[in-house]
Amino acid sequence: MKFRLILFTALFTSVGLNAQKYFARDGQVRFFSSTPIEDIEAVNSQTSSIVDWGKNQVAFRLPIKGFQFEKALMQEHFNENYLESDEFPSATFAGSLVDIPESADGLDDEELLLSGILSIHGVDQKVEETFRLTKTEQGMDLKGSFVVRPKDYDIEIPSVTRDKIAQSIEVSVDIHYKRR
Amino acid sequence: MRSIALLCLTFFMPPLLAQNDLLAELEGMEEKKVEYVTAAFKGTKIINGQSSEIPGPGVLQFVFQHRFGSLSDDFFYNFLGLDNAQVRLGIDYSFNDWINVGVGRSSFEKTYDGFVKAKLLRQCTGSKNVPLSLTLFTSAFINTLKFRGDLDPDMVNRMSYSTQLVISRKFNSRLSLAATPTLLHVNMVPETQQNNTVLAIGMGGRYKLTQRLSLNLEYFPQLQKNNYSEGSGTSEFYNSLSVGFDIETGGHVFQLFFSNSRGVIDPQFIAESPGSWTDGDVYFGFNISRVFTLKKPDLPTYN
Repeated sequence: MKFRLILFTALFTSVGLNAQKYFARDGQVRFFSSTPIEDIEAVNSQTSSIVDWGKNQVAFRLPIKGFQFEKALMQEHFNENYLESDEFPSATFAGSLVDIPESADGLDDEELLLSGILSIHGVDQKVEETFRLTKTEQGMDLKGSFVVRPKDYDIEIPSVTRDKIAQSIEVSVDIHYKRR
Repeated sequence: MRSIALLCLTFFMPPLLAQNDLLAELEGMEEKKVEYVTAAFKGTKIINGQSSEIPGPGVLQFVFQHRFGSLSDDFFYNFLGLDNAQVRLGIDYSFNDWINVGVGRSSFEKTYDGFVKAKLLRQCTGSKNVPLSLTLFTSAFINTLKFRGDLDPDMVNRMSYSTQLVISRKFNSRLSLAATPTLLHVNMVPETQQNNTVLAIGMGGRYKLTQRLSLNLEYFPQLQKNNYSEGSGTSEFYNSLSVGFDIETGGHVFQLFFSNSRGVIDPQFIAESPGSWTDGDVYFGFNISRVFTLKKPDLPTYN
């Protein structure tokens, strides 16, 4: 009987936590590489993400092949020679908020520090970046940008293209979450 | 007692697994899409023959094909064969992701050509599984060499045609192979011994040695003998055999190779290769391609 009660309570609370869960499937991640010779931009609109307030957990996942470039050959080289997307098909982030707001309900428009493991090209790096979370009618928006250095993720850039690809690449994230 | 243990487990396990849980949940949410295999070959040609590739949609490609003179023909006197060079210049454009149209002009017999190349079936994985690619290439050639001081009025006699079906598969990120049944037809051949129609089955492949360097091999056996007169007798044309490297540098692909074929266009290299590797009738050649994006795709904007 006691066990049943606990089970019931556990179930109940997990429902409560689920209500604090936010989902996105078509988030945008965009990167920009700028050198005096060439600017390269690519957009990925297939980023999926979950924010679980109850457990204070955040995760992102995006398919590398979903990056669209202006030049088809660049996109091919990005997948084939640099990110090796057949071998490492997706980039992920798993982490948590450093200062946890009480709940999503209390959220209005805040800068929050997100800390966790960013995994690109099969290499895990610990990152800590600030993002802006804004409450919306359906859920919330997450926006922010940070810098990724290809070198940190064992992405080899040969001397012939070194002048065209920046050593620090600006990545911006724009995700609209729906509460579920 | 057991239930308490179970309870403890359920209490203590989640925080440990939690991050993987969310990532696993995201993985589960991901829709399975059709993933087309890309970059089976670096260039639109393996060496002389077609690969399964075309430039991306809205991309114009300029191809410069160069064949030096034979290694066995006074190689140094002819400045490493440069003095006897043959050249084809070509441009092609992809209207979408499966159709490519181009024109070219080769110096041998002052031949102009026009072609259409279409990806009929694309190798893919994911929600749809297709093990190989089928690419159709069809081309018409016209020889514009002056004959007895002027152009032959009957232009049809100067036409020749090539149709190829490139059956290819990218086995892994390094190895891609292609079989290319080819039908050639030359409206008027220079000698009665020569066949007007030639069937050949091309075989080619590439193996990536590094990210930007690949080894390419190509062989085009003809299904029936094709002869030409030499002195008082006849000699057989050889099958084209070529070996080379692809070197990729951003927007360019350099293909450097040796071949017993001197001709650049299909009727010449498949059906009319007079030299054999064993006699040292080998030609050095290269293809250089450069692409220009004429029509940029619309990138998604911020929502």
